[in-house]
Amino acid sequence: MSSQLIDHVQQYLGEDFPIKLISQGAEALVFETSKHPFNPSLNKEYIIKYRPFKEYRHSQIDKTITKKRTVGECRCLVKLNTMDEINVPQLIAADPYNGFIWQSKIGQTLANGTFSNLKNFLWMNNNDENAYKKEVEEVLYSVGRQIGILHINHYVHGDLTSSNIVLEQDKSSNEWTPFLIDFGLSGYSTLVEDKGVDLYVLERAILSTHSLYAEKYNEWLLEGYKQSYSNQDELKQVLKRFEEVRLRGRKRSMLG
Amino acid sequence: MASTDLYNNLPYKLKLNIPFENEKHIEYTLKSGVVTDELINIENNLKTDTALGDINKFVIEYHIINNNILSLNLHSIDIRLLRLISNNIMESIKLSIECIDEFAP
Amino acid sequence: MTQPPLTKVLPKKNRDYYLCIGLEGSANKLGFGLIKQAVNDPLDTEVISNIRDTYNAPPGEGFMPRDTARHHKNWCCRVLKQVIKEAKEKLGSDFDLKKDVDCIAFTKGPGMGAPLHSVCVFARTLSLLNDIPLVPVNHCIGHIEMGRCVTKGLNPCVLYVSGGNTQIIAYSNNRYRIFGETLDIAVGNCLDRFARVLKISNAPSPGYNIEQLAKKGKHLIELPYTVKGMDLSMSGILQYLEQLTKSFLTNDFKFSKQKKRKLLEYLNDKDVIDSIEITVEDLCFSFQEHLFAMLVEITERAMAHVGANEVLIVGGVGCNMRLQEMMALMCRDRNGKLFATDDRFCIDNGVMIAQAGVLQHRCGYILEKLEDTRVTQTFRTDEVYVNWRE
Repeated sequence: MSSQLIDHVQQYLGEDFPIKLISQGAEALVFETSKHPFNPSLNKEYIIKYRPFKEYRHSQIDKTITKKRTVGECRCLVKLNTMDEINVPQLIAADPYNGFIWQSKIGQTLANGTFSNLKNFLWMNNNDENAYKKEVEEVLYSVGRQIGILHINHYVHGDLTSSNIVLEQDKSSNEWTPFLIDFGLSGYSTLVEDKGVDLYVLERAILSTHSLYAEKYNEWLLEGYKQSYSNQDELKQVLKRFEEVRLRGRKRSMLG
Repeated sequence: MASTDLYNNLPYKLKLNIPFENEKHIEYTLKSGVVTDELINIENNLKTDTALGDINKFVIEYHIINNNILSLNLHSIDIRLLRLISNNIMESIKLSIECIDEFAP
Repeated sequence: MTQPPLTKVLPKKNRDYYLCIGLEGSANKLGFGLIKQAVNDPLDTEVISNIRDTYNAPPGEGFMPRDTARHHKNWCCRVLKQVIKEAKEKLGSDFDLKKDVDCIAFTKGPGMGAPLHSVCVFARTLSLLNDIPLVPVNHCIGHIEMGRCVTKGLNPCVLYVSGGNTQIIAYSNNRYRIFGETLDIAVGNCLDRFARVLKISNAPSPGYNIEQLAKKGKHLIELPYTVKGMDLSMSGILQYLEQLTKSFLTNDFKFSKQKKRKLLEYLNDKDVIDSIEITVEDLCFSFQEHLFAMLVEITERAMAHVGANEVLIVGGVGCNMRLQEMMALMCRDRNGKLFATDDRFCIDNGVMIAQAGVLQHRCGYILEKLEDTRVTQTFRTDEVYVNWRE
């Protein structure tokens, strides 16, 4: 099935457009290319993200969702790119009706040969010796800070998992810089509820995917998150709601 | 606190005498719900039910007469609570007794 | 197949199989079952008896805890008698509760307090009376373990959808971990409440009746769609649809011309829109299409996240053919596999409780004090330490 999808993408881009499939997520196929969509003089690495038609859902629902998410993601990327402190990929081009987005390429290969997202980074260090080392702690702090800055600017990610955070290492200082990716479910929101849910979704993703050291990881993430806030009142409100959302999850009964 | 002090401000009372085949069966019934759980359950409900207030509004005591009669004394601050809880307790005891009647080895 | 901890306790009479009774009553279904499980393969389970009695509330009403508890209390003895009768037919007339049954498993939670408590009282009496070990079981684990029996040990993503639960679960490190779940109400509850607005009958189940109506639906109206990562929210779509339906019902089963043009705006053709009459069937159809699309989407997200290729749907809503069809399409596109859905683990029953209970029993579970059997309305799937799996 996925070969048919790849053929479709190839057809859409033109037969000789060089692409390489790098991942098949739940929602989108992600390709790598060295060709800029409309400026042939630029020879950098780009990412093409394609949201294919989902046969399981009604075509109208599919149309609406694909368009909404592609447009939403573009809007977010453009907006967030204007803010200095937030690290996100750069938007190059988009075709919402067909579900295509071009972005700048983020990430590298880790020491164990896997792609440098937070998930793989944590799994690579998934043992007692490495899990508590400074490097991991620093990475999680800075991830927390990124999310904090996002929220301070009233953007919520909507799909925070360790796969949606990509790391890049500075060649001289060896320090890792986290990039947030995948803004399909993101949006502008001033509601504390949305921010609380955002944090809850991340906490649960860490708990279920990195259960062995989840407690420490979440602590570091939250610590970094707190550091980014200068307005303590605002922070307090978000944390309070986060606690409430969490409690709602635990206390949910079958009544109703 | 002496038990009489505790009951003085609980004016609504109900006494239930329930005959059993033997003391063992009384023990099973008590363990199955009435004394352990039913009460705990009621306490929990009371804590969340603001209309009923705190848990000092209901007390239950029991003893066994002649090895075959379970005697329960229920003391309540109001009649509604007494009805509610005594109904629950009787239903539980009934279920237990039915089970004993049908499935005793 | 046999792992060492799974034979800490051996079956009675030196048999090569365990016999376990399961008692379930966390919602409106009272189900008792007896299973026979091979010592050398915990996934080799034969159902000896599976009896169920369902309490159906009148149309337009949900089942109330009190009435449901009363129903369970009234039926406990009758249902168990039927189980014993079938056991005697299948295992021989000398079958004896006290001498043959290795353990009694019952649902500790999650569920409605009063019905859970009724079954718990019955389970305790039965256990004390016959001196049979009592094992409290998490209801969700029951669904999953029964499903695992059917998939024969593979490790699928489990979508658990019922009246009280909506979770996506996968096993790792001795726990069934919840990857995604509802942030507010459960999908079954959502369907039930919509059925109540429409005053659809509660027998055999509100969801089933909505499914039948939806089959005749043709025109889709667009509804809110809320997915947050691997979680979803359903109160928005329900509220919106409830309001819409109420105005539809008071307006003699019609929408005004204006309203219709708004609801079907995506068709982009006023003449076409004006010629369409939206029906109750269309509402059910649109509701299902949106709800299930959200469920399938978060399942796919969880699969991609944990790298799983198989899916198993458990819980009452899992019986819905449209949901199964959509899930199968999603799996096909991922080169994955959807396991066939089966009443044994979809609708609440005693057999699944027995299956989960006997696994705990085999690992040497011993009830320390009777208080440990106290029922709990909130009992999360990931609270249970799964020592019967590697």
